Amino acid sequence: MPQHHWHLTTEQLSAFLDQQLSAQEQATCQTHMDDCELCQQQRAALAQTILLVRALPRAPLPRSFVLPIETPATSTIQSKAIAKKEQPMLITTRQTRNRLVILSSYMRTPMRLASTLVAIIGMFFILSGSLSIISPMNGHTTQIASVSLNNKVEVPPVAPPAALTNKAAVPPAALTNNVAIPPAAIKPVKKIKTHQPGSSLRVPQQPSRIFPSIPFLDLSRPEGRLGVGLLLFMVGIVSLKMLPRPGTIQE
Amino acid sequence: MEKLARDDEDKLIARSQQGDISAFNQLVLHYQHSVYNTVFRLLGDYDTAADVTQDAFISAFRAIHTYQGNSLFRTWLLRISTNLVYDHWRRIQRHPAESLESITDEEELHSPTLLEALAYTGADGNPEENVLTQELQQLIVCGLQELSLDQRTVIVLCDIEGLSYDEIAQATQTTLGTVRSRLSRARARLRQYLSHDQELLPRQYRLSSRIIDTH
Repeated sequence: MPQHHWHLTTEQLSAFLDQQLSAQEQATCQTHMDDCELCQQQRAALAQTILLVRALPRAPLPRSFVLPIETPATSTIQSKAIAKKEQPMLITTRQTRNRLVILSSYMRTPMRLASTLVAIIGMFFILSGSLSIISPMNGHTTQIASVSLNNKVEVPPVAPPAALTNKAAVPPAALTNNVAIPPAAIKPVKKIKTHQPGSSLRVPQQPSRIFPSIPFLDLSRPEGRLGVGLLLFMVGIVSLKMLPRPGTIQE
Repeated sequence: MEKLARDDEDKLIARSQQGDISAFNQLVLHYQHSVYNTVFRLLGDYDTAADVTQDAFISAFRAIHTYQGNSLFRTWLLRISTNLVYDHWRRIQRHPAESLESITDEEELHSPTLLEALAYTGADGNPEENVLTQELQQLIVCGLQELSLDQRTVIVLCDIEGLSYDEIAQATQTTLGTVRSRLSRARARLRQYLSHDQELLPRQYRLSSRIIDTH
């Protein structure tokens, strides 16, 4: 056999064995090897190495790796996988609550923070509104305060936080001047004068005061602040309840 | 397990993307052996490989909505798996105390019993036609562990899992040229390791030193 001045590189031989060279390169390599014992031996050594690696048995499966289905962890995984789809926020089924939890699995801490802030702001508004009502700013207010303290109000069906008392829930509006201004999730309370259960908003009896259709958002009025405060506080508490501490959902 | 028809696989993937875990588990059943074997051959430890494999399937389900069919599903799974292997490997390098024990004692490999064991590979020396002995398997596995993770990854994906160069490039997020060069170096280095004490190898495995030195 003629002695060649050049030989195929390991990379060429490796690619040749995998048929990853172009047709021309494959042909060139084959032609060279037909005449070069050294390259033939090198090719054989590489081929043998490949066969040895291929002959390694497959490692036995230690167990099945299927994902569990009916656990909070799986709900976590499942909800994360469908996180792109919109999820209804107010359904109270357990599955949906889990999905809700998952949707925020990576935002839990900031959302808890935001919920806490909302609740605190709500409390400030409640305090502000309550103090304005209680303090003798004018005759109306005093009357309002005494009336509100002495009257029970029917609590709407939506479960309010435990912190809400009848006192806080009594809208100062249960009076001649204002209409009840409860949080949006709670049905408006009736005027105390009439003691009517129910949830419809009553038209104020004093013609001099005509309130906008959404009086409970009027922050310039104490009852407005109270209402907004109740709303924010409830939203904050509900959000906090629905967002468990980070780390409690295992994956 | 029978190979999944492409249509069936596409349906399972679509259902998985809708959040159907049981559909995804069908995919797990088809690919778990391939994924586990890859991870095991890369990391060398059964328990760690099991943990990483489980993590890989969890990550895959979480990211299933990102799979758009630009690569084979298996390639996509193996990409996730190798990424996790690399993450684990980097953690190990930073904390050597947690590193894995070597699979076998180097000295045991060069005992006379190994020579005898190697001789059982058959008259024509074709290992493909014979079940490798435990000792030879261990020798090869140790040789794989001697490679860098990059080299071991390409040789496992190519020679153990049978991926094409294109698929390996996708799974490792590199180029064809990189795959080609890493693979050739991995094979050459492994061959060198196996021939280190070639006087212990049966004649059919021996090479002249001239060949070994020309890499």
